[in-house]
Amino acid sequence: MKSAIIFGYNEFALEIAHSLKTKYNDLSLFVLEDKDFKFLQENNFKVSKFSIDDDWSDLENEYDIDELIVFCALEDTAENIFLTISLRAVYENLIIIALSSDQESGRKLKMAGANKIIPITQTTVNIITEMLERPFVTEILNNILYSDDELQIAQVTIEQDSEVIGQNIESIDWKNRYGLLVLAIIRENLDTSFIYTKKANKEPLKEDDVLVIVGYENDIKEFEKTIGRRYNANWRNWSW
Amino acid sequence: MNIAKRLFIGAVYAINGSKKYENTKRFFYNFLENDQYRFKKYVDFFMMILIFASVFILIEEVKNHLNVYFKFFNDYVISIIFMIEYTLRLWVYDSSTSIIIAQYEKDTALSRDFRLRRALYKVMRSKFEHIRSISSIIDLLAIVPFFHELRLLRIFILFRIFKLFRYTRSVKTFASVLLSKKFEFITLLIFASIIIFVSSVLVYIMEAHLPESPIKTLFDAFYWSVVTISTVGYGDIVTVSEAGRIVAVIVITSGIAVMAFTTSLVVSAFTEKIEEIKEIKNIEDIAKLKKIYLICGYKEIGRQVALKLKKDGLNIVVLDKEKKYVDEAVHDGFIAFDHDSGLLSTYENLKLNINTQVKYVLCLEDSDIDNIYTILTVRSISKQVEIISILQNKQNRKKLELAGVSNIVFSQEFIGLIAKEYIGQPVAFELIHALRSETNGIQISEILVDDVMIRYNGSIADIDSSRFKLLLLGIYKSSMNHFLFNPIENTLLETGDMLIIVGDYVFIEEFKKYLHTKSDR
Repeated sequence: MKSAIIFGYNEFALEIAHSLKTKYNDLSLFVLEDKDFKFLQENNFKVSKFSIDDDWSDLENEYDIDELIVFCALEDTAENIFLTISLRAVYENLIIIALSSDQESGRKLKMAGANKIIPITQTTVNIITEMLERPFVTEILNNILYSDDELQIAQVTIEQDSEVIGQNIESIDWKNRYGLLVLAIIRENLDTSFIYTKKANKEPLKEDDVLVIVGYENDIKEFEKTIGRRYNANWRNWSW
Repeated sequence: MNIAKRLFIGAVYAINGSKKYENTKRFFYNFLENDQYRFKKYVDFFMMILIFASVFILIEEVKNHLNVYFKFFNDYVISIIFMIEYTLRLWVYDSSTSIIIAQYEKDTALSRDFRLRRALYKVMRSKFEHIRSISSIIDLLAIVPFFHELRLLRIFILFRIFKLFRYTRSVKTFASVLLSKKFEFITLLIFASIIIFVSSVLVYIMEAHLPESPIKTLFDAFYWSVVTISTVGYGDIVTVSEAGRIVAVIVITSGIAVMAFTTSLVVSAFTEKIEEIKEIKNIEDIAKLKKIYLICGYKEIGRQVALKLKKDGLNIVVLDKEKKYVDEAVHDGFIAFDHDSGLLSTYENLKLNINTQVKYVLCLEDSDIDNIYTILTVRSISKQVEIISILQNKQNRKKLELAGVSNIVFSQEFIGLIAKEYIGQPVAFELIHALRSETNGIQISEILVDDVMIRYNGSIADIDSSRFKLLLLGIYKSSMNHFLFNPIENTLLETGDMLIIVGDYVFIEEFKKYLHTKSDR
């Protein structure tokens, strides 16, 4: 069973918990303080208490480490880093996503072994500056990414026997045939490097290529049926 | 009250109420006294040229015989211009009609006869305040050469040089800085005067009777004393007797003290005032700016936002009530003030017109309370300015909205959504992130549809974006306030719409050019 643990009790942790609720059935919060523990318990959260110098070796008794994702969202950056390194010391394959207040602690978290760092300040700054520089783009991207609007972004893996295999991006009339736009194709062996449509126009599509598409929910569903399957993120392959 | 008085009051009221009179007065006031007025510097420049011309003529005159026209120009034209200026300054200095009316209304309120003489006395007193000011006296002396043909009075032309002070702001600042140490300078002056006085008398007594001594008169002694105390020491007049030299030793020693003290006074006056001078300079600078991005709060977020916006060459002004953050902002190259953005007086002091000069107000303080204060303050001045604020605590969202914020950035929520997207679709998310951060040249950008563009492109079908290897994500229809994703070919373009384009930065620029020209279609 896929499960998630969120460390910390603050606005960030709660927002993460809130948005993950739909994706993870087994979602628990780990908190440091007794009062937070009681409060969350009363509010029907699955909550555990922990101490910063816990040895995490018994975590695998409760969770399937391969299916577990961990968010380090402690208020204190130093504690966050310490927690990350303690977890990484025990579990080499655990997926750890950590919040960092600034760039410096972001680098430390990365060294401590976090798979992905979400920089809080940087994110806020980006949102604000984008709002000022490109208000329409920001609104549209935010709608596509975050809202439950009909317009969505999706990544689809091309399956064996799919009708698009062998053709190149340019020769397919995505707009009229599928009602979609292709933003990028990703080849498995190229890892994270994106091949943008403009560079990959002439490249014939192969099995297991991942297409990043934008379109309306229904069109995407239709497309998935005929072309492939939703891409399941394999976190271990990502070197962020 | 007799007829004459009544007529007089009537005339005064008429003048005071007259729009034309007021406008004329304001016009001259702006040219002469208002530093913020755009064209004042031209008047200043013109006057400076006149002054230099005048001094030039004076110098030339010493050894050469000058053309009559030059003399005429110097004696009459310049003098008359200066006289007109003097009169205008005297006129715009205060409002005589208001003073008379105030007196009249006061008298009427106390139900007694209007005291014309008292009113006139008040008018004179007020004008006299202007006349006796140093700059005004210099102005007056600068006109004097006009009245006299006497050689000695020519020297008054030099007062015209002093007039320069009026037209150069730096001299004014310098004077105001020195003025802040008035007490110390006076003490020093008294000390030096006593030393000079005592030593000149002493040296006169010691030396004047000696035939070999160059000090013959009391003035010689005084001159020697001043030259010595100032540590200049020409050596044209020296003491010859032993007694005289003892006096010299005292004068020399105190001279060193006087000079050292003077230097340190000037320096300390400047170091104390430097912040103030900088602020005055900054206020002058921002007065010229338009479309200001006002950043309230220079903490981590404020700082990074400012630095990012700076790259786009936008006008940024930083406000933070804590000195250390302001110092940081100054260090980062911004115009910054340590003023509280939540106070009305701040905007008054900075002479900042939020309605006309500010485009965005960004409330980026760490605390919601500070941000709400700023929002309320700014909203009370301007109804239409865009205010963007960050939100720390969810519960305060409503309060920010009530205060009148235009846009709220709640990063906690975004972080939550980001976490969700990361897990669900990491590739798509990273792609969008890459587009946003504009690394590797690919970007998503908006192109405004204008009249020129419509002339060449009627509908989506006319736009050949694939030719530029660009992806038309969609069009934002301003008329419907709605984003049309992947629009069909016959979608019409209207002025004010936004095309949302993904692609290489260089091609986007090319594409913009192409949309605005008719060529090769």
